[in-house]
Amino acid sequence: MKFPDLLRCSRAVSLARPDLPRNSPDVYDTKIPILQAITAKKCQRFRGDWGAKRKLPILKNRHISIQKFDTFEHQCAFISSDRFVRTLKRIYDLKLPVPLNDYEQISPYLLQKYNTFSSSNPKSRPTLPPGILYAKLKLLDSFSDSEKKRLSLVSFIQTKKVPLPFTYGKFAPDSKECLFGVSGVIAATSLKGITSTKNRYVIRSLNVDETGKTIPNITRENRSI
Amino acid sequence: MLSRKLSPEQLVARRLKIRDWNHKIGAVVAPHYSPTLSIRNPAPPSQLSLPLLLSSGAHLGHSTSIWNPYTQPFIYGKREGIHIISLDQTMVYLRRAISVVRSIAKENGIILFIGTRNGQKDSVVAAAKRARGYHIFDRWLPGLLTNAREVQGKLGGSILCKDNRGKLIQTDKKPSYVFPDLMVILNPLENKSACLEAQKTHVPTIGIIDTDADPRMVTYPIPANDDSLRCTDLIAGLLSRVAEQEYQKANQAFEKDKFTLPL
Repeated sequence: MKFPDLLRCSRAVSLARPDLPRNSPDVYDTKIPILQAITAKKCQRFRGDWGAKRKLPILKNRHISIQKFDTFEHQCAFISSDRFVRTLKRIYDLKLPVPLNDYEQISPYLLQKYNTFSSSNPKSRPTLPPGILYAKLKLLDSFSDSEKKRLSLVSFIQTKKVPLPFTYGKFAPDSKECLFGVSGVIAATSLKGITSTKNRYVIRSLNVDETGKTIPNITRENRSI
Repeated sequence: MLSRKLSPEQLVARRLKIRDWNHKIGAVVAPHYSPTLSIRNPAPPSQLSLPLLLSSGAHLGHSTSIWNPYTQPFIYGKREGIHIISLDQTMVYLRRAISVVRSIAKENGIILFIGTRNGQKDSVVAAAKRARGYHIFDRWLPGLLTNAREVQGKLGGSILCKDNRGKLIQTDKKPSYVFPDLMVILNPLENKSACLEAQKTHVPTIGIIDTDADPRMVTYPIPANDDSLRCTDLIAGLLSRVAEQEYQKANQAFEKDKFTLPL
């Protein structure tokens, strides 16, 4: 074999790299995975051997993404990718109708990322046009209590009396938070209507389609009756 | 039918008989991959190949901003902000280093392995033990070669030996300072003082030169990645295996001559 042919198959060259313009803000957005996640064997992770330029510190993460192989300060820049990989595994396990290959098709249905204190300022809330299906993809990560409360206000899909068919991480089978779901038509034009209890949607049960995809049965929960 | 009670001797005999029956049953599990396999059982020089160097990460150089221009002949190109070392050049220089180690081991020379990075202790100690040499894994003492009179201690008197009657007699031989015949330095940039002292005392050195190091620091440079533990384990194990093979060859020659000696 020759060196150029072997080099094309090596890790340093075959890693997927995003083709983004310089100083693009998307690089620093941790909501969407841009860099390819890599993993290593357990015996290799104990030595810090991830196949990179140099030895990495001993991590508890199983998946990382290498930002730079080497910098001016003789460091290998990397970030954690555990939450993206675990979310992807869960989506595949549920067989949800999520078109992961085409991001442009799914991006209109993803809610925008909120700022830290956006819930306290009503002007910075995004306005959602009525009559469009919306989805909320919640990334798996370690949340604090205040983070859970803030996210519960934003989330508008809840399950009730339906045990989830899987268990990952800290989420219990009787959790009231659904990781991904498709809601019905939203009649309100702002988040005030969504956060109220009258317009809360509930997933009654989960059915399987002919092609094997999971379709949730969503109905509006009207507590006034 | 009543079951008879066996005596202890009969029980032991039965157990041994059953063990003989079951001794040859089953398959032998082949040794699977382990990251320390290259330390415990390194590859011989006959198995040196480009895929082996590539899998150990020897082609990954440093960032292009901290490049040393003297390493231009070793560089294949740029990728992801780092220089890619041409493994064809690495193969040539590594084989030359192997021939140097072989010739020194043939003359029973002293080989010193130096590796001061975190994690290189095991490979350096194993390589020195295999090559019948010495190792340094914590810190190179400045002046160990050039200032041997102060660092290695004072050597006085003369060497004593016993005569036929068991009495100690002084000889004309005097003790001298120990200098290595070859130094293998796994990270020359951090052991710059060792390289300078080796140059001043005319000791040949073999060093792993990355794209940010100066190849003039060592006598026989090996262009490779000096930050990866896989690469340093591979190179240290390879050189020590060459020396071990040379010693075994010498022992075989002695064993062969043993039977031809007249009694």
